[in-house]
Amino acid sequence: MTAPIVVGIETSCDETGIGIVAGTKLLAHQVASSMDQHVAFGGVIPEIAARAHVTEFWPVLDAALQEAEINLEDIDAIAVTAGPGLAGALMVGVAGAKALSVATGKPLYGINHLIAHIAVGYLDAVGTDLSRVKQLGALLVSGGHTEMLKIRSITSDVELLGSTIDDAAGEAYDKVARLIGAGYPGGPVIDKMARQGNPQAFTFPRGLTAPKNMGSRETPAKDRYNWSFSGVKTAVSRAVEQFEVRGMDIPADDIAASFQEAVADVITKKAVLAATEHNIDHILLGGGVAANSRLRELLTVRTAAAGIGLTIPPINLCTDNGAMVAALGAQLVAADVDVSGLDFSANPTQQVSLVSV
Amino acid sequence: MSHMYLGLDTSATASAAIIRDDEVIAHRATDSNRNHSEVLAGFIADVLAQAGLDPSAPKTLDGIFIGVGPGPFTGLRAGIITAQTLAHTWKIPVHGVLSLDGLAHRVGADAFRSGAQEFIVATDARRKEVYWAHYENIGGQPQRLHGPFVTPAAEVTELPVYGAGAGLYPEALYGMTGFTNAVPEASDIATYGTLALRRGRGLQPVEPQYLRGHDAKIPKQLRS
Repeated sequence: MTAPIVVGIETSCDETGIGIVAGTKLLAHQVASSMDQHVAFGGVIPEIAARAHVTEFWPVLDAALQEAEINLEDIDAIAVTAGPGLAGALMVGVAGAKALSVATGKPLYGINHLIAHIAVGYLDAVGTDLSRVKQLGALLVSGGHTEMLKIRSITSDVELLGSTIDDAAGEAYDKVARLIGAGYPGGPVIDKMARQGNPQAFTFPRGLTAPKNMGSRETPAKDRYNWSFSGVKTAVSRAVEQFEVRGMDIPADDIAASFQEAVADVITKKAVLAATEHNIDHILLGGGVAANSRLRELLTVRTAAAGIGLTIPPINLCTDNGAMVAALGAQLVAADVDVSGLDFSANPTQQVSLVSV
Repeated sequence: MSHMYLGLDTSATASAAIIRDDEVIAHRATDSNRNHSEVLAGFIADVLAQAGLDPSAPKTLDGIFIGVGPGPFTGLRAGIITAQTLAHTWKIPVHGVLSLDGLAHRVGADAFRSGAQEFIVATDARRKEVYWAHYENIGGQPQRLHGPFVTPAAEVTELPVYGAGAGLYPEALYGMTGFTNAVPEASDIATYGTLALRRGRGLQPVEPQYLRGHDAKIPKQLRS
């Protein structure tokens, strides 16, 4: 069989993404974002995101078909993000994908958003041959997720090693950006301010790193590979207050740099620890926070020191997109996994153990 | 030459119907008002099969009518994106029908027979409100005079009321017997749609009639 042509549809948050692949070859990658409409609110407003998906769905799909220079008759399968994500946003993509499946007669896969972030790494465009890796791990860091995963099979066996127990890292960035009046989205603005600031000016907490949270390799505590970002957020809030009550200017650049250092430090330290203790010899980084300069830098240094390989896909394949959904769809087709049919639900809290529904 | 259309509505429950020359030849509907994105595609495959059409190339289908609401947001979006996708893929036209107009067309005969020259159609808008519109008899057909609106039931014009809104708020609305659970259905949308298309008026753009904005408030740190 020639490489299957798969259309991937992603609407789990504020990006309407549609990608097309032929096996591991990327044919089209189109994304429309409603980010501008969320700026005033300092975070993604689910109803605004869902409304935008309806408006953007067909323009983005048309653009993708044009970019790939194919017609709908040429495709072999359709894949859509079933979860996890925002319920109202997911349902637009799911309903659209089902209609596309009925109208074209092509099989449909409802897939897991997080596993798609990993599957994107298998595309030729990323430039790493992941099939040669002995044991792959993935670190996903975004506005909605912070997870460390072990991948035994991209189509059927992914284990969650650790995750955030409260806010996602990107969410913490947004909240801190709001506290220091930096704008939205928080990731890029704080990254930029951090370059002007002193990362040692404040010592913000690294959540869940106390001995009782960590345990030992032999008897690991429950949160050994988990993260928590609520403490660092509160610490930033307290620091800001201290300056405000004294009527002093807030040293925003120093706070940004110190916050970023705390977050990048704890994420990379725990990710590399989990990898080392689970015989992972290669880490794939995914999610929007993969764009963060300090996270990339520290992860590069620490994986190298631990003798672990690292792949960071181009940033427009790390943020939410349809190409990653198509990439996972193509893997599912190749592995002859059962199709999802027409009656599955969007699943806002879909677990990583469920690669496709 | 015979004409065949697909009707869809997700403004209350989810339903799909095929109409041929004003006769409903296939119909599927759910009672639930919460699982539209799960059931709608399956319903469409079913009604196409019942009507003897090939789902991936329904050559004799002339177009699609979609109920554009008003209705709960998530359901409406599932219907709109479905109708747009089918029309785009099959390369046939899609037309919007105000879901309340579809229901008004079904109940109009009953209203006029009972002597009411004007009536209200009201459906559940949740949050203690109803979606509604005011219709009057023009030449034996209901014409929308005012609306659509979303308000508490107490603010609805005092006239006989058709639709599930009347069943929910019997203290405020004068519900017509036999119609206090009625919701817009795909067959209503297709029936009214074909009529509106022939008349050349009464159709709507294919976009959700939310009637309400999103609830998001700007956080106080960001207010200037």
